[in-house]
Amino acid sequence: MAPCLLLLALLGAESAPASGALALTRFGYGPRGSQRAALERTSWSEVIEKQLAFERIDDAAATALLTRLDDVPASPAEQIARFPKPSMLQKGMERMGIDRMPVADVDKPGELIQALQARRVVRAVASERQLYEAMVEFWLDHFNVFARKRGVMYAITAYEDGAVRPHALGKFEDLLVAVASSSAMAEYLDNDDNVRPNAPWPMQAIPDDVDLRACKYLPEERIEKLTRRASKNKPAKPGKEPKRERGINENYARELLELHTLGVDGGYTQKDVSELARVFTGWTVFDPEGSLGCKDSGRAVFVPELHDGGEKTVLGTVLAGAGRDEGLKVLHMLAEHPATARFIATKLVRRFVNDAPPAALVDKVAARFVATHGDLRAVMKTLALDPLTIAAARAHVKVKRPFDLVVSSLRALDADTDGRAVNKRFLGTLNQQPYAWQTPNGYPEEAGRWTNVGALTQRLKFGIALAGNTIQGTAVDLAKLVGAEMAYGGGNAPANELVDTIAARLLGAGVSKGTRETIIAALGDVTPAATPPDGGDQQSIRANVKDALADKNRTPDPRVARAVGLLLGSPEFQHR
Amino acid sequence: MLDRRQLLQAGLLGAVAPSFLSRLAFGAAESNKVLVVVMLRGAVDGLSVVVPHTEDAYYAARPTIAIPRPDDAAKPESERLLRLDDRFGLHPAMAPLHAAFMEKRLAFVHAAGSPAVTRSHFDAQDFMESGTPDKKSTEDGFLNRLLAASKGPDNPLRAIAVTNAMPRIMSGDVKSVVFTRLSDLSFGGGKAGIAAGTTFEAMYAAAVQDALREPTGEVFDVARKLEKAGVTKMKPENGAVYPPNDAYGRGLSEIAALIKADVGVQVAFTDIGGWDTHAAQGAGTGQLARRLEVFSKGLSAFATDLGKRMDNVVVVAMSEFGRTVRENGSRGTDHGHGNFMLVAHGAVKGGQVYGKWPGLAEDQLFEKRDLAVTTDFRDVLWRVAEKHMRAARLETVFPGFKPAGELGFI
Repeated sequence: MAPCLLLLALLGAESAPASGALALTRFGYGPRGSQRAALERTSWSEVIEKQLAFERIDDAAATALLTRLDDVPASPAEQIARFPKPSMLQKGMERMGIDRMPVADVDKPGELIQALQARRVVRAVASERQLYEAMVEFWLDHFNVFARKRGVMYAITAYEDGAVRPHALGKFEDLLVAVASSSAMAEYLDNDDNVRPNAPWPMQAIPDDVDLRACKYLPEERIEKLTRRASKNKPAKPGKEPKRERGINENYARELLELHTLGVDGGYTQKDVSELARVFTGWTVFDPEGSLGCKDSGRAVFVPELHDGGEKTVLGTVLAGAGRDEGLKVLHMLAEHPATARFIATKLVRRFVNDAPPAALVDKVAARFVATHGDLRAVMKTLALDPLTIAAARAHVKVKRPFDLVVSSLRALDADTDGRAVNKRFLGTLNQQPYAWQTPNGYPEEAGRWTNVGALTQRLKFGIALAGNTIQGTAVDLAKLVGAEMAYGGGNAPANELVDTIAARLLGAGVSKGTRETIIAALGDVTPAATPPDGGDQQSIRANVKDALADKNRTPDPRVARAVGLLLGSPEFQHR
Repeated sequence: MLDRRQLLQAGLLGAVAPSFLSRLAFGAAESNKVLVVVMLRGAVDGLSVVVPHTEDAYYAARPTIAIPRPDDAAKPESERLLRLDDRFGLHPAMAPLHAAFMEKRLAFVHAAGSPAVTRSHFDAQDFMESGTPDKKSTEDGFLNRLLAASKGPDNPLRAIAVTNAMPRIMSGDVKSVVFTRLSDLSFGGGKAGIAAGTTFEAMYAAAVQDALREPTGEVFDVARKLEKAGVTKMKPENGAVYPPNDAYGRGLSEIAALIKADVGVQVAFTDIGGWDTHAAQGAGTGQLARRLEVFSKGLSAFATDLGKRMDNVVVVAMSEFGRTVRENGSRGTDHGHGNFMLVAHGAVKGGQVYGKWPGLAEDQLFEKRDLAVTTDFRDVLWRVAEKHMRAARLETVFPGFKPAGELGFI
């Protein structure tokens, strides 16, 4: 079905050039309502070029907004201190021999997760660097982590800000290395537990650069012991052999090949997976869930003592005795592998062009990936400026996923939002909260996965709630959207003018006749605000508007909210 | 004769209408048989669920995570296996299902699975749901093809999936209804909600070429049917208690409500995750035990809730593959191969563990690490489709597959 639509679009391509508004809808979360008119007059390529050079786009307003809303500390240790897991707090207190919490100043771990999710919503709505934000979402799916697994929640700020964002439009290899070196991925895919057979316990192998002073839940006499042992790096005494054997965990190694680089058909074997797991032994995390309460709790570390120094063969390449560099060598090899280029290209095309990726375009994008050694900005430029991409965008063959629908709606209405209730109530029921997808493949892309009957009802309900201003922590100014005269003009605006004004802000010229007429007809059932008592001449309307603007509690013509809600729920607005 | 819409308008449907009438009105299935499939996503460790307690190789391979023998006096009874027969024991957290096994209403097929050797969760689930191992080009799911091969009216409520998204297993030409919560299907909001719903319906009906037209059109049709049938107000019966605060438990209770409402359900699907126990999976207690408790409490409540109706319902539970025989370096298990399947109720001859047991000695393992597969998962599903659903043209449900001899479980 989708390829047919694409073909139709190619044959019947409009003569007017594709607009910047469309580019921003495809490679971002759409224009703000207040920006749309200007973007309709800008060209596709101008917007793409500008968006690709994201560093030059002033984003101070978004940054300031985040700072104002966001009171979550940045480091894992600080987050652990403020949102401790009760079980870890218990362990720590037992170790210190205290039975009452010294400070009552802590919040539930669930609060941290909600704050992190809300932050993603706010950023996507507020940032002017829309293509960049769309890439961040793409990579957070590609390198998915799940906040509710073990200590992952404490590692997410560092993951998003420290690993993903710096490289979202940079070099793929840098991104891959940053992800592999992150606490979030190590914990999520159990690599923090992937060690050479019979390795010492974590507490017997603390790297030298981990700071053990000022650990809240580590008695000083134990710090002494641990530090000494670590600096000498000697294996456990014969009498103190671990009770059970520690060893290989192949979870990360498998997903690194299957989901992060080569793809499941990329030509590797079970033997490659097992050997690769040995390469990544020792890439671990210090005190991941924070039971020690140290400054370095939750920090990713490489521990030579836990690394398997023996010989391994991965995809025909022999590695041995090089410690952490072995992993870096493999990551380089994987980043340069043609199967990786193809796999990433296919996913990018599926995300930004069509659920059924056209082979010709995948070839082009993959070739660019290989030629530039994974320069993501160059790859995205090739993808975004290709005629096939633009034709598909015009045919609107992509359906918005829930996160896209929610963020694009908020932008279209120029809404102010703290992201909280939007995330909890709506992204929750729509099943696309950030960091809430449990399995390592990330949220699915294809429309068919999102458009079941229950989910569609929830989409429509969201539009109604947003337009009706009933979402806590989110405000839309409908009077600003349609202009004060229409909003407070006492119901004098004809329904068709009202619908056309709103549609222009939300969808530009992209509203079908059927949708337009259905909404106009529906407004006939809504009682407009009372007509001014003296009949409604221009002067009294102006007076009415003036009064309304002075009165903060004055609500606009109810037909506006109804029309906005219906338009946000329209088939046209569900598409990118 | 009144058509469905007229009946609906006349308010003749719903909890007060005799069930034959409502079934007629919804274009009832010729058969009242229901198949419920539960997918345990993430590869449940079958060797912790249906455990070969007489094999020393099992205990040798799993020093810290083996489930203690039924007679292991050194361990508390609550952590020991529940005896199934001379060879196998059931995980103690599966106690709610042990009774059904003893009453011969529930059976297991062991060392079952897919001939595809992949250890990718996603490929393996895909192959199992499409019903065509190692063939990626299959577009639809086998439950959808099963509906096409079974008699039934053009009623989207024939096929229900309570999942976050359209599952592969259900996708295809035959219409189905997919939701995460039953309440998602209604607009709410009183008069304004109804008005908005009517407008949305008109708007999507006008969107002739839109991919969203069909699913959206169904929303309104289905929502009206369910409202009339009073499904959302139904409560669990016979004292059934589903696991609280759990999507899977809620899903099963909603499937039960739909079956009780006689809206024509023939196939229902839901899934439960949390099985990918690479680290610290636990033994008689712990991470895996907690998931198994939710899983078995849910199924047990479902059977209690439906009571006598379970004679017409067969439940199949399966997972994409099993896990390594040997415990890994972090007291967990990695991706493996063979696993158990659960079949229960309807005409299932319970109280037995079916299938050929391949053994756990080194030379008996698949690729020297995993439980071998001796029963193709399609052999189990084929017999259920044939004997319970009375489906015709089974070769279209599992193309290219020739079933082995009778397993005898149904």
